[in-house]
Amino acid sequence: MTDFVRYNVTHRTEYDYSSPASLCHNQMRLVPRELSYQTVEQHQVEVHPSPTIRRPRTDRFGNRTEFFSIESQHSEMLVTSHCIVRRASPSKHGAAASTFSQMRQRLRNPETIDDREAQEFCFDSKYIHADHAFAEYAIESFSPHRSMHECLLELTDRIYRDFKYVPNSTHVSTTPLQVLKQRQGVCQDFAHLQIACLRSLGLSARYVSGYLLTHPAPGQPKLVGADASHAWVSVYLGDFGWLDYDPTNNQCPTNEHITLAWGCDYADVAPISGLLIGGGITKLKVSVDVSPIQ
Amino acid sequence: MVRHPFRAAGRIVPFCPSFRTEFESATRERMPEPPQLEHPIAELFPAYRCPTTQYDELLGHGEVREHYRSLLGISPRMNGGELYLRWQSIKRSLRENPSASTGQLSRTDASRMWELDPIPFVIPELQWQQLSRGIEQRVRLLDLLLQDVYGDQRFVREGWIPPEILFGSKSFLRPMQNACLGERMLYLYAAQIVRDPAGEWVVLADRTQGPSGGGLAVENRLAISRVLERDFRAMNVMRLASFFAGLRQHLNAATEQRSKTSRNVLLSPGVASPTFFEDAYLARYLGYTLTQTSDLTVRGGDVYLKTLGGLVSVDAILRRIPDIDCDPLELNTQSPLGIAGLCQAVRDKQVRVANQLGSGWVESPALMSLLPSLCRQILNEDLILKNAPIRWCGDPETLADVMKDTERYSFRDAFTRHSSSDWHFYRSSELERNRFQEQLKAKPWSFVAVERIKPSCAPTWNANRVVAWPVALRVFAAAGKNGFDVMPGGIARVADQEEKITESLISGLMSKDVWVLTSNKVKPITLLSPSKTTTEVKRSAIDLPSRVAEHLFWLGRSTERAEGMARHARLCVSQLAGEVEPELLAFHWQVVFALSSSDGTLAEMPPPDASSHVEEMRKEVLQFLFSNHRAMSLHGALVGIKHNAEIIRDRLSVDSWQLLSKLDLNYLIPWTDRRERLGDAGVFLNQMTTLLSAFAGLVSENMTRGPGWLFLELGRRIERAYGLIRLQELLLVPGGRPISALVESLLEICDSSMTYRYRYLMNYEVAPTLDLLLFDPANPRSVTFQLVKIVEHLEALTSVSKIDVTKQRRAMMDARGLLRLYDAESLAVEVDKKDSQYPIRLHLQELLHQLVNHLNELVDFLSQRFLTHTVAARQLEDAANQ
Repeated sequence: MTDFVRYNVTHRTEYDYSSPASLCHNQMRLVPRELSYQTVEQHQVEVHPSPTIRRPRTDRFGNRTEFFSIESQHSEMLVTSHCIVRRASPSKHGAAASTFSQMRQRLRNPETIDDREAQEFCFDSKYIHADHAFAEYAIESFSPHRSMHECLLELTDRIYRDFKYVPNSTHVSTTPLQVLKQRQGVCQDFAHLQIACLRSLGLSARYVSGYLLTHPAPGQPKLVGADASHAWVSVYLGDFGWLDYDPTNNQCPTNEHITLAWGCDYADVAPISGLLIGGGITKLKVSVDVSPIQ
Repeated sequence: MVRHPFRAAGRIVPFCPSFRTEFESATRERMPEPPQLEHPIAELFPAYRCPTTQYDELLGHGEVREHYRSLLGISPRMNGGELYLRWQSIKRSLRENPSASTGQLSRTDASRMWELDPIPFVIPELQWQQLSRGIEQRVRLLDLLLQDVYGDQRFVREGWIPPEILFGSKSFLRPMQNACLGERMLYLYAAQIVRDPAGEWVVLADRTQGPSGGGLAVENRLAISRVLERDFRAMNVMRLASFFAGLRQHLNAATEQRSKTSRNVLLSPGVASPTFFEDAYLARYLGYTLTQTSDLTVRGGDVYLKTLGGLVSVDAILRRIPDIDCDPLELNTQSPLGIAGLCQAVRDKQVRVANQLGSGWVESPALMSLLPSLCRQILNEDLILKNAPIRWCGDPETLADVMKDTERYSFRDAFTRHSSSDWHFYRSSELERNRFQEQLKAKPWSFVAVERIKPSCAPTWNANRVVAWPVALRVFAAAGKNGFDVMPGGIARVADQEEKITESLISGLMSKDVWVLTSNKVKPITLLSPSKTTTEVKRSAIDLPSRVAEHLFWLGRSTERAEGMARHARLCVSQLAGEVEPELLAFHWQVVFALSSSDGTLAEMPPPDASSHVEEMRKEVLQFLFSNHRAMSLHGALVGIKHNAEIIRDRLSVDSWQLLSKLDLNYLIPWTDRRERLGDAGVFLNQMTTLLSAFAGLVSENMTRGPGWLFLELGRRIERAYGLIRLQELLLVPGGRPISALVESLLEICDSSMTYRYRYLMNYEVAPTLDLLLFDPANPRSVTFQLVKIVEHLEALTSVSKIDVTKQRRAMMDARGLLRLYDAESLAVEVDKKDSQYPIRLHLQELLHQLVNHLNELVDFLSQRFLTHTVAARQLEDAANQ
């Protein structure tokens, strides 16, 4: 690959409790995946206060997951993930080979092991339930003999144009069906929506979490921490394999996206989830900084 | 298998043809030819009618089947009257000796649900051999399926399991992938089965989460084998005890006990569950600690039981709650209940969960429809036991077939275990049908079509007659040394209508014991003496769960409170029942007020000349006794006793339980019209006082002085101290009124009149009364006595729990010291009060208030330090992507 870029990524998550918490158990997915177009050169996750135990593992989807517990009294928790990643644009060569009807057929009557494995992402998951409303919305972009890749580019473009990006317009429990109605949301909602559309058509799609390099407005300096943790989708295209689509930015992710983890939906890849005793009211601060290394 | 056309009268047809000759020759040798029936079946069973569309368990070709002959009066021969007397008396003795599940404190639906029919369900030897082989094969198959889907998923990759059935199911728990490779997933299994019209066994449902009913089967067996002792021995019925002995042995062997103190627990959903009493029974039977999720916590990656002595590590959890509710961090992130971190502890091999988390997946009806082909593919065997006719709509051909005749089926979620949400075409409107068809078209794989099976009918004793009721059986298998052992018995459920028989254990109206006959010698086994293991001698059980300690504490308080109330109410009743002198009205009112006001304070106290009509006072007393809408009532105190006793049922002796079970208004005074008469109330209050005193006696004489006893006793002492203080404040602090009758009443309520009369004859005065009720360390009804005991108990608590209570002990000693600063004479002095026309005993009031403060502090400390461990957890705020 020629377009490798090296990034320095810092992702800070800070929880401030109004009263002390005595115990918390957490799970985090903060280490980027190793991919043919992505290499993790260095990674480190610091947790403060220091956990009693840390247990890293690889989950069912191959994501690097870690369980940790804090068992002393604490009134704040700070998780800082730091990594250096080399990222290239994934190749799209041959992505347009399969048509929509071929793809449906193969997912119904799998021909290869990959087809079978892709079937896992065809069905309902915690946040995403297929519905004919999604199929109705999406089908416009799909015709049986059109290449899947083309259909997907069009659907991605339509979602980008039909839906307004409005920060804080939704919350974690907003359903894709509500998003379809209210026509606005954030990247997580668009990803869920697009997956719901694809699964409602009998296709296989997964949810990807990661980071995105943002560019400052012309003439403005780049602000540290202004980058965001991001989400997009990945779709199974048969012999080609999987290709990513980002409905929030109307593009196929290139070397400015960094892939953290994937799963059926957000529930499988939440960067940090946890359960605590005590704590009172929680204040949450997240900052992500993605800077290219010159 | 089809019923055999040639059958000898009254003899069963061999279940499996290959056994026929062997069986027939064996029976010919052992049994005489069945006697010719002289009396028609109709005379013995006038009400027994099994529809011809259902299999008849009792009669075959108009004759009673061999295995029911001795039970139902064919040999030796009885007439209708004798048969009636036999079962009538057996039923009565069953009622008089209720089992744990039927004899609950509150006579709820749950206790009726487990009522036991005296006539057992009998299965002859050969039929059983076939059935148990089928069960064993089935659980073996399900276990392999689970090991595969949570392992390398070969069966999915081969295409044997359609992806929808695995990935479309909520009960496939991805966090458990590769969590316990190479280990078995199932330890306890149950199948709900019925016999179809052709006489073949058919499985309605598989139960692989934490199947209930096994403990009930043992309970039922104990009850039935007692009342039918002779038949039980004569018919050579296989014993059940070895089943759980095997499970326990296997679980203990599979779990390496990491330290002498670590233990195994049974995880129950709690007292609200219809099978809670079975959980308690089973926990006791297996020697496991009965716990709920709030008793367990994960620390340092290991699972612990929260006890008074601190955290005790847990080796194995026998789970009776659905796996999805076990870990709010990884399994059901929408609920804060469960044991956060359990999945990780399982992955780290810190604890063994039985059945393993994730095992619920094989309960899916959709999977069931595939078992015949999976059995051939995986085990290379034919599936022995037939499935209920369940068809998975995910297969296009099946769906087309089903849609041709929709009226025949009910439609069910392909992954749910219950039939309660079944959908029927014939019951629905046009609009509903269209909507359903749309759903079916969109996600056919998420539905199964189920055909109803007509269950067989078994002889049942109902309303003094033998009737034919539809029946389902629940049979069990447990992990053993070589694979799985099947329990030779089980539990049968019968109902008056076949619709009430479903795949659920709680369906139906009554239970039956299941008798499996054998020609082998049966060896009695009991769980009471575990083999080979050596038990370390230990004196006290510090591993008392904190939650249990809390309920013991409140049981102590509520029994003491109820006793005080009963004595007080009894006095009011005796004073008001007869003629009441008008000049005593004010005095009576004060005593009634002290009884029934919720937090009686002096301000509310009526002035001495206020008179209330006698009828009103009587009404007040009766309301106090029977109303369930008041803050302060006897009814409320009894509910408190029941609530706490039921939860810690497994910690109470049988005798204590029997006493407490009688503390029920419906038992003591069942006729509601008598509740309007004060005289009758007096009788039942006497009974109540006796029962409560007997309970206190049992506790003091029969309960080991462990931490459990300490908390029960602390509760009692603290409550009695509160009660004494409250009465003295309400009756003795207000001055300016004739004192003699009040003092006499107070002494009566406090059960101290004998001592008083012995010491002071009939001179009722305040100072000597205060001496007796406040200061006298020898009077078990004095405040000082309570304080001394509380100090002793706190000392004992330090030694068993290693938790420092020195400060609290010193505070109690201070309270005792406070009492030494006063003398009875000075406390009895009345002082004029500024804004009141009546004087009060001010020093007494001050002293009592200080004592109450000391007690409040102690109670706060106890509940914070020992009791309320069960703080709710909550989900961490979500840092959603923007």
